Amino acid sequence: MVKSYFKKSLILIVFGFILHLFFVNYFHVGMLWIFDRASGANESVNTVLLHTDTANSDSRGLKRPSSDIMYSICTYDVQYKPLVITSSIPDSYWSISFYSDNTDNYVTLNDHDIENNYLKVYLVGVNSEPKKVNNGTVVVSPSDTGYALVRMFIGNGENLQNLKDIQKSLSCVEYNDN
Amino acid sequence: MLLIKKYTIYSLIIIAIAAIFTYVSIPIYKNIVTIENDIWTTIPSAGDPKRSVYTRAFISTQGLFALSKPESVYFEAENDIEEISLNGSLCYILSGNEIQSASIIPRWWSLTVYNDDGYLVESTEKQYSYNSENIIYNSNGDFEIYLGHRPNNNISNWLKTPSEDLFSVVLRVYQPGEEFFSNLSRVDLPIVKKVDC
Repeated sequence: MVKSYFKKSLILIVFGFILHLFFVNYFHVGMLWIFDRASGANESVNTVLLHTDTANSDSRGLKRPSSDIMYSICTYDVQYKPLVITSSIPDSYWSISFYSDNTDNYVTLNDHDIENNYLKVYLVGVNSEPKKVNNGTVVVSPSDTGYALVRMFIGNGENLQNLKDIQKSLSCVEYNDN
Repeated sequence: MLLIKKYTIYSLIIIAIAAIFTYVSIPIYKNIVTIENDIWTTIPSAGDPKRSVYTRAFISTQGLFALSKPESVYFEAENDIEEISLNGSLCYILSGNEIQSASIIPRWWSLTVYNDDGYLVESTEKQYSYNSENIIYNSNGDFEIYLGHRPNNNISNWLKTPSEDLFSVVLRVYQPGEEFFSNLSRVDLPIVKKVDC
């Protein structure tokens, strides 16, 4: 009788632990789902999803927003076609970070990595290599979908209007190389 | 019917056990993966693709899109130097000098105050943070930030804290250099000390 209860308890604990691992492993999926619904990302793929002004106390898109950074986000799906991302780059800190569908930051390029203050990135999927690439950096996404997040440091705010103009220059479009 | 009831109970027990494992694992996980530097804690390379599933889950609760080494590192302080939780009903001075390691100056840094829920504190002044370019330094190159619900006439840099609730301070350091990442537990970082309001 005691042995049976012990065995049942052990089985329940093992299943509980497996469920715990499952929950931890897929927790980010739930958080991304909330983010996608709040930002409209699930309806807006392969384009610039949003540009943010400097964050304030009303900002609720993401937790712990930085009020020293202006953000822009492109959501992507490169399963069938690559994405071309272009943008002007300011003389101050600027970076574009690529996140796979599990929120891993697999590549970041900043203004020091980019020549002539102009970014051109071919973002390709594992099975969507472009036939030809002209004057750009190729970034391979480990997942078909993901996010490209641009950060611009606003510093003392003196150059804010110029940064806003640069922010608007960001473009994320599907690449047709046929 | 009895069988359905039995398996429903088993399922609920499994969910409860999973919830207990998750609840217990969070503090254990924090102690294992975070690096402490005085009042500050950090997860090195928070957005790294090689991070554990626990790190990924934890970062998801903190802001989803974290950067990885060598681009940036984030530190968080929830306590003052007396190891007492930062509380909006009290006042503090955050003081420090140039944040760097081995004479390599980071590209930039910022200090931001957050409510207990992880969002910026409501402020009519719209001053939610200071960074390495807009902070007012003392004549000796050090800096001080007054953390309180109301300003302090003697200190130029003021970050508003919530009126009563707990709050935290996040330090972001961008492109601090390899040496900095190798010394995350030892680099000189600002301190937060309670003062009279």
